[in-house]
Amino acid sequence: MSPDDEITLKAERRRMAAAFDAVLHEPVPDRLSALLAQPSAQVVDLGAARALRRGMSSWAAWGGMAATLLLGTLLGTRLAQTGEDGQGRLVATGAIARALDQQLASAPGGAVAVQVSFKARDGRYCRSFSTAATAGLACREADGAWALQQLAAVEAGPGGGMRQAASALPPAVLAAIDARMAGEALNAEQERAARDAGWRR
Amino acid sequence: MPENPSELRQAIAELLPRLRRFGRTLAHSREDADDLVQAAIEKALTRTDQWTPGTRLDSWMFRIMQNAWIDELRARERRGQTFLPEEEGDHVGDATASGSQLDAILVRKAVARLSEEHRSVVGLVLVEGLSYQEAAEALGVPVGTVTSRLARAREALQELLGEWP
Repeated sequence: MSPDDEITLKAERRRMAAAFDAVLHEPVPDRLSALLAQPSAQVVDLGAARALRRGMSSWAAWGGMAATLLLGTLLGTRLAQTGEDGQGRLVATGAIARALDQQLASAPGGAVAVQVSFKARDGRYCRSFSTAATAGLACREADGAWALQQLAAVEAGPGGGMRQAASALPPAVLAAIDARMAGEALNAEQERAARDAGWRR
Repeated sequence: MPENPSELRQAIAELLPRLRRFGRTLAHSREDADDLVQAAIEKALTRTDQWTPGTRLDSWMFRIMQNAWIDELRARERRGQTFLPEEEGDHVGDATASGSQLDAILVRKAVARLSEEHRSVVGLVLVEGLSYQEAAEALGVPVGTVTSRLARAREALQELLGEWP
C-alpha cells in the first residue's frame, strides 16, 4: 500500500467513524448482554445462592490459585499437582471436606451433594461432589485429606439449584470418574461401611 | 486471551458495542442490526470449540455475523419479506443538526445503497478497521477480492456522495 493509499484509507476511516460510531456509545440492550451472562449469574433461587456462597468459602480456603480457578477459569481444567496445602496438592476443605467425610450418596442433603463413591484402581476411595457452582472428584489420601482430581463449573439452569447439579455432573468429572473407577460404585451398604471405617483402604 | 467458554463469553460481551456497529453497517435499522448480533452470539456460543485461541475474536465474530446476515437475506427473499426502514427520524429535517451530523446521515445512506458485497467490505475495512487480509479471512474470500470490491465500493461512494473521502 502506497503512502497516498494510506492517507486515503485514514481519511475514509475517519469519515466512516463519524457516521457509525454513535452506536458505540449507546447502552447495549439487555437482551444481548443477557446472552453472555456468566453461569453463576443464572443462579436464581435462594437455596442455590446459599449453597453457592458456602461452596465459595470452601474453595476460597485453598488460597490464591484456587480463587483464580473459581473466577471462571476452571471449566474442564485438569488440576495440576501443585496446591496450597504445603504438600503440592489441592485438597477439599470446609463444607466440601465435611460432606466428603460424612455425607452418604445414598442419603442426600445439605449444600454439597455427593453422587457416587467408589474404589479407585490404586485402592483409594474416591467420591464425586457438587455445589451449586462447581462439581468435582476427590480421592482420599492416606493422611485423611481429600485430594482433588478434577474440578469443573456447573451451569445451573432455570430452577436448577442442587437437584439439577446432583443429577448432571459435567463431562470432565464423569471422565475422571470413568478413568479411575475399579469395578463398580459402592452400594449404600458398602458406602456406609467405608465411611464408618474412616475411608481407610 | 480467553481460554475457556466462560472467558470467551466475557470477551464477546466486551465486543458487543463493535458487533452492534458492524450490524448497523450491514442492516441499517437498529432492530435488524441487533437481531443479527443476537443470532450471531447464539451461533457463536454453540461452537465455541471452533474458535482458535490466539486468533482475533472480533474477526471470528464478524465472520459469523456476515454469514448469519447472508442467511437472513436469503430467508427474507424466500418469504418476500421487506426490511425495516432506516431510522433517521432523529436527525433528518432537524434544523439544529450540525454539518457533521448531516454528513453522518449522508454517509450512512450511501453505505445503505451499496451492494451487499461492497457493504460488508466497507464495514470490515473502513468502519471496523480490519486489514485487507483480516477482512478476507472474515469473508472467506481471497485478499484480491477484498481489494477489488473495496475499489468498486469507493467508486460507488464517490458517485453517491459527490466527494469521497
